[in-house]
Amino acid sequence: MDTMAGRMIAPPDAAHPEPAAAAAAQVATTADRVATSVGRVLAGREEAIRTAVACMLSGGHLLIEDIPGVGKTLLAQALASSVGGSFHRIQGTPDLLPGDVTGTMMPQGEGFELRFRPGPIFSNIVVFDELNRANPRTQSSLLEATEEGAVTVDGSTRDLPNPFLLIATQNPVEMAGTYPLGEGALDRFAAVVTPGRARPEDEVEVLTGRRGRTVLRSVEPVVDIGDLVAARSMVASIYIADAIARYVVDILEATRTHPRVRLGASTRGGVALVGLAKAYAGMAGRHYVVPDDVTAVAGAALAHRVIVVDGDGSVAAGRQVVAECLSRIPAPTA
Amino acid sequence: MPVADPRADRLNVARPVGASAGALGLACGWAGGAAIARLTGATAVVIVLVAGIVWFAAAALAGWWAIGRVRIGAVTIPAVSTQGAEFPISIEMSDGRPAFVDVRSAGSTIASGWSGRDGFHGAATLRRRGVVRNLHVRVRTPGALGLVWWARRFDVTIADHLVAPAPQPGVARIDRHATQLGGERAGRAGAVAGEIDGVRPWRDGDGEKSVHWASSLRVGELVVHDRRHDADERWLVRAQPGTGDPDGEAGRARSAMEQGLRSGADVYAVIGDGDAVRIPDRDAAARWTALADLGVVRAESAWKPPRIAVEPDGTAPAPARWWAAAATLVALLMLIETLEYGPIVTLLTVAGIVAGAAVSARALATGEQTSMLVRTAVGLGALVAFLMVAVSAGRLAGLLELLRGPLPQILVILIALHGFECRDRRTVRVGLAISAVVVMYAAGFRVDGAIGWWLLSWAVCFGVAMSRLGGPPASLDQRPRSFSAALPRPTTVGVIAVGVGSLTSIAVLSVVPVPDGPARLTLPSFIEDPQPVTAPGAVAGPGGDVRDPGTDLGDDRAPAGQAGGYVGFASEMDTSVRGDLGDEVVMRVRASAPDFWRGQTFSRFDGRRWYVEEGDDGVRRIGPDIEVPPAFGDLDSERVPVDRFVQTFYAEQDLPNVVFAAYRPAQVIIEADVWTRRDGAIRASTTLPEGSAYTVVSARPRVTADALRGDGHIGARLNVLGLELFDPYLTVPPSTSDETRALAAELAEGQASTYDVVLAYEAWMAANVAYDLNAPLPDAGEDAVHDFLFDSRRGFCEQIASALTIMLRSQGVPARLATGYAAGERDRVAGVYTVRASDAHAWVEVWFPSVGWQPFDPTAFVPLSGEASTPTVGADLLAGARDAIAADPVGAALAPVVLAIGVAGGWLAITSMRRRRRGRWGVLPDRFAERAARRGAVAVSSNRVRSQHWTAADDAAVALEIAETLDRVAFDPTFPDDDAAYARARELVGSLAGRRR
Repeated sequence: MDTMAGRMIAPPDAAHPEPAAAAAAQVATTADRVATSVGRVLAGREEAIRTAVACMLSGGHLLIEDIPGVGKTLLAQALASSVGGSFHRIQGTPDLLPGDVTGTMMPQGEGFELRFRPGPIFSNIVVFDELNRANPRTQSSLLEATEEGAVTVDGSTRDLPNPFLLIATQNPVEMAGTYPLGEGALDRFAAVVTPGRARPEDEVEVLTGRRGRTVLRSVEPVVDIGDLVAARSMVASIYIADAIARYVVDILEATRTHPRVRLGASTRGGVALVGLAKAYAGMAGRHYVVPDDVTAVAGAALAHRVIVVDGDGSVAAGRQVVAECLSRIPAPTA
Repeated sequence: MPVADPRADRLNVARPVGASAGALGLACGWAGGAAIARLTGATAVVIVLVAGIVWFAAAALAGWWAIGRVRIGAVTIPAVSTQGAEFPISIEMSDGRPAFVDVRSAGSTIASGWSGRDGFHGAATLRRRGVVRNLHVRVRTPGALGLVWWARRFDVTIADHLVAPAPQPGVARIDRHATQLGGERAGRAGAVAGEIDGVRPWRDGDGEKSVHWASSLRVGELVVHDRRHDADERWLVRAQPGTGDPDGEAGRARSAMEQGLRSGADVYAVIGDGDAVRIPDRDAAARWTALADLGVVRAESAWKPPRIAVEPDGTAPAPARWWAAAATLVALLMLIETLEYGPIVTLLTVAGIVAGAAVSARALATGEQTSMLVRTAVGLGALVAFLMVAVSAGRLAGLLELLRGPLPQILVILIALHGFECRDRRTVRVGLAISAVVVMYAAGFRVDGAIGWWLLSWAVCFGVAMSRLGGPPASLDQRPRSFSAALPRPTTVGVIAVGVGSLTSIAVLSVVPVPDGPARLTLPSFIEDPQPVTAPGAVAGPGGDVRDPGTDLGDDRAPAGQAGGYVGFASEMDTSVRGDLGDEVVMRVRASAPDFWRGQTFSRFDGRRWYVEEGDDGVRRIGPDIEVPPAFGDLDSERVPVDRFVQTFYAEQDLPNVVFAAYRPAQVIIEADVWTRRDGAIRASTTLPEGSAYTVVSARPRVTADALRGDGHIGARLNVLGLELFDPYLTVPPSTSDETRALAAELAEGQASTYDVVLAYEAWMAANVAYDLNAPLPDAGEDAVHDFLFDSRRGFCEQIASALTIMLRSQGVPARLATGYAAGERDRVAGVYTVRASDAHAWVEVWFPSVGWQPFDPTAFVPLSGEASTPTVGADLLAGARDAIAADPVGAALAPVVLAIGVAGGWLAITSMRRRRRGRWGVLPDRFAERAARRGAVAVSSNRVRSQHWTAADDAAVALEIAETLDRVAFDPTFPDDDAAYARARELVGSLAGRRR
């Protein structure tokens, strides 16, 4: 919905640049608060945090992929805790059923009439831990939720609260007992971030308890849900020039014609990339997108969407391909 | 990921592979030019030919240079491909310039195409099943000039690439085994989770009948019976060896395996009765069938790769087409102006060429055939033009008029017609070759001074067209200008190349002798509207009036008052009259060296006037090809070594019937009859009006100072017979004063030979007499020589020459006065002497027994013919440049300034054009990009990335501000585009330029 609104908003008026600039400044403030709050918990990894915040602001869903023990879940939880609003956490297991996520019709009351009992997905922020341990059926039940912000149970469609943000984590290394996400499911995520290992000095912080999970409990919401909604609509109204849209299209095209790629990035990938770039621009206090915003988030937005030949479905291979494409496409300068 | 190993850089030697289409046409054009040079002896043609040779050499080396810089890196291809199906391939290449890449495996081309800025990306097809471990990458390029292609082969070892057969429908032997029900199912690999004991969730494609209603009700979702009979099957695909069609067999096996995998069976493969191999997925099926050894291929497939021409892309780029049209136009205009066809023909030609180029360029752009309407119009236009030529050709008189009239006209029409269909590179090159022939043809005709500028403008168009023709297809060159900053600017390279080429051309030209005229033919050698001369052997004025001897011209100094009206071209000449000769061009002479163009000789002197030998009308000889026998006193060619010396005279004014020639004329080619006189003068039977031309071949005695000195004192050597024969040349008029004789005797005293006497006289004249065109007239009745030598001591060439002649005669040396023209000013490019009315001259001829008549001129230094070095074109050009600088040092100093202003003007024009196209901000990103590129920024960088290449603190801040401003200009609609912001940005970009690393 937000992206639609963004498309309908006219470019800012040259005669009155102040409102646009002020809105961008507000986005920057909001983002800064969240990023600082998350940064208190998660040592280092500023780039991952920024991308995660940008994803949140762009209205997309976030997938955090990395090896165990580097703070995937911590990042997801810290992000969720920093924002007010309802919050639920789902742990992915093979026996988790769609109904456990979306909710089911339960007989209730004296007449044992069937009433809908909402599942954990009915909240503003949902952290789905170990998404690839849930079975494909359950994974599929998220498709409608992530794309349309609604779930259909027993034939009737129920809207999810607004905003709705899904933060999922997954572990790419341990393959036994996992169900890799299908291309369609992956495509639903606006961005994939890989926090990576912390620097030695950051690890010291964690081990001494100054950062990490021990701090998580003390995280208070720094922005309420209204701020987030406002920031999202401001991000959507950030101006993107045709030349930059063209640049994004060129990047998408390059991933499709890259010799190592079996399946290139989709148009939805382009939409997500533009959304992230807008959020990035807003976080920098700008009310217009520059090519560097696109290059900064292109890896996060596209790496999981390109299927690399012999890449074993790893995001790292995709990231490498996207970087190669970026090095080949001239950035617009005028 | 197969990647090239380091051995990929094992380089083969660059070698030429061939010439571009149309190169033969250019060579033919060159040969035609060589023929024209032989026929006309035009220096300009020689210059074009030598420049052409240098250009050919440069074109050959350009490709060699370009191919030498090509390196290839990693080759990226997928690990498995299917036989006959396209798969992507990309090759990293170090050089950003386009080159044609041709990838081969086992002798046949699998992929080819042009490389781009970041290497080669293309689609490859392998047609032989099996493993590929080596690829031959053949890179070729013609370099910037695009004529000679050079190639280099790189052998690349790749990680094993498997070529699987294309799946083929058909009968393959499949053994199906149903596995036992029971324990085996649980934990089966590949089983879908969530399946509980024979039921699984509903999937697309499941039928209504397979729904397990009990479970569905319990779970709340549709649950179906599992199709265990598919999942539990084991397929054993047997491939048969030795069928004669191993590829087909492998394809059928692959097809069967994929079918099995699709239906969920466990698939195993086996060759004949060998060991079964498990095939877990489709990739494995492809790998197994790629490697399966199923016997030899019995019949090699008839498929042959298409042969790639030396030049892979035939379509000419549109800019090349336009430049070629410009070259053709310059050539034709040069020809038309030479032949004086008038403004209508000129206009029609321009229209024809431009229309042809427009039609061709449009066809190139759209890729469509020209419409019927246009073709009909062109055909009709050509028909009308041909008819017009045919009508005008009805009135022709001879071959020469044909050569000058309709033949070139038909050529022009044909060239214009050719322009309409001139699209592929071959045709455009041939068109350029034709333009070269036309230019050289016109240069052979032209004798005026503008020829250098014509040639220069044609050469520019030709060079640009050729280099544009060598480029890759137009579709490849899509990158915006600002991104090419990392490569050196083509204009810079071009300027350097042109400079080096010019120097080389001059160096080569400096060993090429100045061409020595045509052997037989003069183009053109005819005379229009001549006035016949009625009196045989008489001298007629330009208007045809016979100049009677004894006409009293009085004391008037300007009796003739017209060009060619020099008093020396009559049967008598008053030494006190020179006439007020103007500066207009009288004639142009194409010759390899300067000489006196002699018209008349005078033998009798009466103290004031000279008279030609009387009582001799000469012998009439019939033209146009006339042998001229030696005249009185001339030596036969057998008795003295001679050099052939060809001169072609082009009359630029109406001239008298005097045929000028360098001493000693042996042959005259002229469209008239002539009288050859005993005194050596040649007179035509008609006057020579403006536009007439004739050729003289002279046999110049090879004269050296030693030879002349060897003759000793000629006066002492003459015997009685000699004294009688040479009496007219020894007679001193009675009015000659004793002082004159005394001076002559005094100066001759002690000299070893007559030659030294002449030198002594000349030295005395140089020291004691002033050259003065306004010398006072001698009093009536006074001897002119005495007056000149002792009273006025001022005089011009007639008086100086008269005095010298009389002094020599007084010493018994045979001498006479000759009149004609001095050599004139040389046009170094055309190789033509421009003779002006003021070059009219008189000099002395002294008879030497060993060489005949030898000219001497006290007022001008002319080297003896045997001592002059052979002139070369290059030395001539350099001497011309030296003369030009010496003549006008201010102008020579100003020329670079003017040139610089011109270049700056051009640059400003280009900048303003870009600014018009992209707004005033359009130039700043380019300049910023250029500066960042100098610091190593890659061409694809964004403004902010570029700004990071400035590391010093203040520089970095400035660069970042520029980048932010430029980004706002480009991407922020609220950016206030005011003058202050623009001025600030410009200042910032300018300040960065000053701080180079």
